[in-house]
Parts: sequence; structure tokens; C-alpha cells
Amino acid sequence: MSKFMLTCKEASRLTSEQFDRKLGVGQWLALRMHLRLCQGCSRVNRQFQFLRRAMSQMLDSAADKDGAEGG
Amino acid sequence: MSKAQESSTQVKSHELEEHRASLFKFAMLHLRNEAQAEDVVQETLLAAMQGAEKFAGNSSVRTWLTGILKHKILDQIRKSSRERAAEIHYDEDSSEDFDALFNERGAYAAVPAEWGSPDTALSQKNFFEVLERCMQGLPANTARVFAMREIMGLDTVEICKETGISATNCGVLLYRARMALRLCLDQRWFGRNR
Repeated sequence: MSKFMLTCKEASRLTSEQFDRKLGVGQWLALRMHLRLCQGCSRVNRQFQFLRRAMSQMLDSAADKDGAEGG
Repeated sequence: MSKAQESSTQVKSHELEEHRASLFKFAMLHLRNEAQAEDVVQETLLAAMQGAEKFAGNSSVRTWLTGILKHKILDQIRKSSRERAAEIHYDEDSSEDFDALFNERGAYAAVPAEWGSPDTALSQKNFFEVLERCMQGLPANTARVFAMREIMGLDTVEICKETGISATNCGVLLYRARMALRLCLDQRWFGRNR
């Protein structure tokens, strides 16, 4: 693989990893470049971001529901 | 403690009981085992009753209980981490199961769909039921690590420590969880009318 040209498969791994650790400068740049050029991967990136927001609200949603059932 | 103090600051056991169902749900997301989940919830409610005077009242009862429950869940995870280390190797053998999404040049065989403005889903109760079912569809270890990361908010170093799995394995499991949940939500929610 070329250092600067990621495949979508490689990009999808790095897209996930950026949510868990700070990427190296080379990886970060390669990912940014790929996301800018690739529609599919930039959608996946936004979907992962959404997933994080959804997971953080999962428990609040349970609380609302309990409240509604109780009241 | 005076009578007045008791009635104003102490949390009553029936107030605690009201939270049992949602605590159980929280525990199940992490443990995926009803007996273990019931145990940790029971321990949490007992600890809360015994420590009711420690409840400061500056956070909600729910937040306080969830805090206790997190510790109980982590204890449980630690307790059985040795047995699970073996399972995780097993899980990992199939870490290439998203290969089918990509062609031989590593590009998406089918371009992932646009979700539009997905945040409107966050105000819909049904959405979270779907998300929960998608979580239940993940392999147990994958779901556990993902829940520790995204619901408990632990970093990967802490997750490695609590579960005894390596940082690399942890990254693989988080990747698999995100990819599988993305596909599941695409099928069951965002693309259901496509």
C-alpha cells in the first residue's frame, strides 16, 4: 500500500480508531485526505460520529421512558 | 439524625426500587447475562440503602445509583476476565468478517448510504429500541467493550486493564462494533424506506 493513499478498508479502520486514540500525524493526514476525496468514507465518518452521540444519550432515553411509564 | 432531617435528605427504599428496571437495562448492556445483571443491580440497591445518608442530594438519585452500578459492573467484569480472555481470542478469529463490504482493491463494493440529518432520530423513542436491539445482536465481548467505551466513557487503557485484553484487540472489537451497528441502523432505521 502507498503511504498516502489509503484504501476504503484501511480508512474505515482509522476512522474508527480516531474515536479511541490520537492518530499519528501521517495516519491523520492520510485519513483526512481520503475522507475529503471519498464520499462513502466521509459518510461512514459522520455515521460513527452520530453513533457516539446516540450511545451517549441511550441511558437518558431509558430514563425518559421510565418516567413516562411511572407517571 | 432528627426526624426532619431523615425525611428531607434520606432516599427511601421505594424510591430506589423505581430505578430497578433501568439499572437492569444498563447492566444488561454491559454484562449480557441476566443472572449477573440481576446480581449487580441487587448489590447496587443494597449498597444504596446502606449508604443512603451519603447521598448528597446535589445529583439525581438516578445518577448516584448509576455511579454505584458502574463500579459493581466493573467488579463483575474483572471477576470473570480470565474466562473471557479465552473467548476474546475466539471472537477475534472472525475479525475479517467485513471483507464482503469491500472489493478486491479495498474500496466499498456498495457506497455507504447518506443518512441525511440523523439527529432527528435522537428525539424518537423507537430509535433507541432499535439501537438496543442492534447492540444485542453484537457478539458479547464486542458489545461489552463498546459499552465500556461509549456508555461508561472509559478510555482504551482502562478497558484493557479491566478486561485483560490488549490495546490492539480492543481496537478491533470497537471497529467491529461500530461497523456492525452502522450496518444494523442502516438496515433497520435509516434505510427502512429505501
